[in-house]
Amino acid sequence: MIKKITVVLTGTILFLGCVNDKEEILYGNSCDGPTPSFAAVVNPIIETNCAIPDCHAPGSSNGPGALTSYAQIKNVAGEIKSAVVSRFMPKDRTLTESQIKAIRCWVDAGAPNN
Amino acid sequence: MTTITRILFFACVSLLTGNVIKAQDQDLLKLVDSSKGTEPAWAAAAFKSTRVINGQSMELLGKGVLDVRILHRFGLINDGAKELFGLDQASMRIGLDYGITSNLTVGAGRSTLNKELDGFVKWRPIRQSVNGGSPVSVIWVSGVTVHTMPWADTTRKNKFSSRVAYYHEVIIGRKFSNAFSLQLSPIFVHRNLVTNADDENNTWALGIGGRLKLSKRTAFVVDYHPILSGREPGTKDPLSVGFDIETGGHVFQLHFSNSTGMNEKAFLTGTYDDFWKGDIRFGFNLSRVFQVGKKH
Repeated sequence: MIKKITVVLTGTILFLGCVNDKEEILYGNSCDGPTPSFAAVVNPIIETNCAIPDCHAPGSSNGPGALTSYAQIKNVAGEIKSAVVSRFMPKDRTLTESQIKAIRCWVDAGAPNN
Repeated sequence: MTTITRILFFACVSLLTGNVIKAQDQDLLKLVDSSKGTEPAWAAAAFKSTRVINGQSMELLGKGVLDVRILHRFGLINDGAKELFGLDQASMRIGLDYGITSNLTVGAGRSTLNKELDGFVKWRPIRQSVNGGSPVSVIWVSGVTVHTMPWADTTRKNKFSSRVAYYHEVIIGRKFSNAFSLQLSPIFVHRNLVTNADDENNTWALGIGGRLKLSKRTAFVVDYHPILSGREPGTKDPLSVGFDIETGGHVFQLHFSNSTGMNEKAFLTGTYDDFWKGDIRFGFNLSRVFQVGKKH
């Protein structure tokens, strides 16, 4: 009986159809429209949720370090995007969909100081 | 499929096929030997546990053996004393593995990270022998993971398949001596859903696992998984070093790692910390085995 279950389980794992979905394409999270402003949109999100004590405040050595200036943020923009989009960051906080989209689209646009 | 993926795929197939042919050859020799009454003597205990640290090892459970596994990964050590060097944060996986036969193990577990369930089947078609059989063990592992986190956006049409990822792995390992074992394990992870349009659903990595025995009950182990292609943006290669301590039916694995994930999909596509920058976590695997089924 256990062997039969194993065979079925193995078959399921090996032959279950895989799909190749991309969230951005599936749900149309494309970055249409103007690039979100660093000063007006992106930086305030980071100031409130990331550049806080015990996380990425001045002097921090956590992960990419402090995220308190444009240079520091631009330097690790890709890392910020993937951590935020995967919801790995911020820890103990939740960004809204529109906040995540703003960061993602700003990074995709080359992380400009706009 | 990228060129590197193709090369790796053919390399794996050639390596595996080569070993199978060799093993068949040796199996025939074994038949001749057995006609003389010689039983194959299997190389045993290449690793103390069925995991090197994060990745699967070339070891399987004996028939009828149940392995209760409790794994912890803590926060970053460089968070300092105020976080008790990471011990204030803990991520865990609890799991059960069972040996259906001496060459077939199944297991399942649940991790707190992403509230993820995982299950696997591990089969050893070729076993290293010390008296003229195969010089290596070859093990196939296939697994599935399902995260059970609430949907981030409930207003859109979410698909169950988006929760699912698969991994397949071939482990080729050898116990070179009582003190030293080494294994290589090409591994493929498929995630049904990735975030960005230019992210790859398929990730390839090469597991490298080694064990150096230090005393009768302790060993030094290394578990490294360089990502070969399909890297999740921002992630680093998982690297863990540690010590296995065996105390009767228990095996304690104490280690330092840059990864939090405790299944193959999680640590190969979700390790964001850089070991070489000192972003290291302490962790342990606790394994307790029970003979619950018939041995033969």
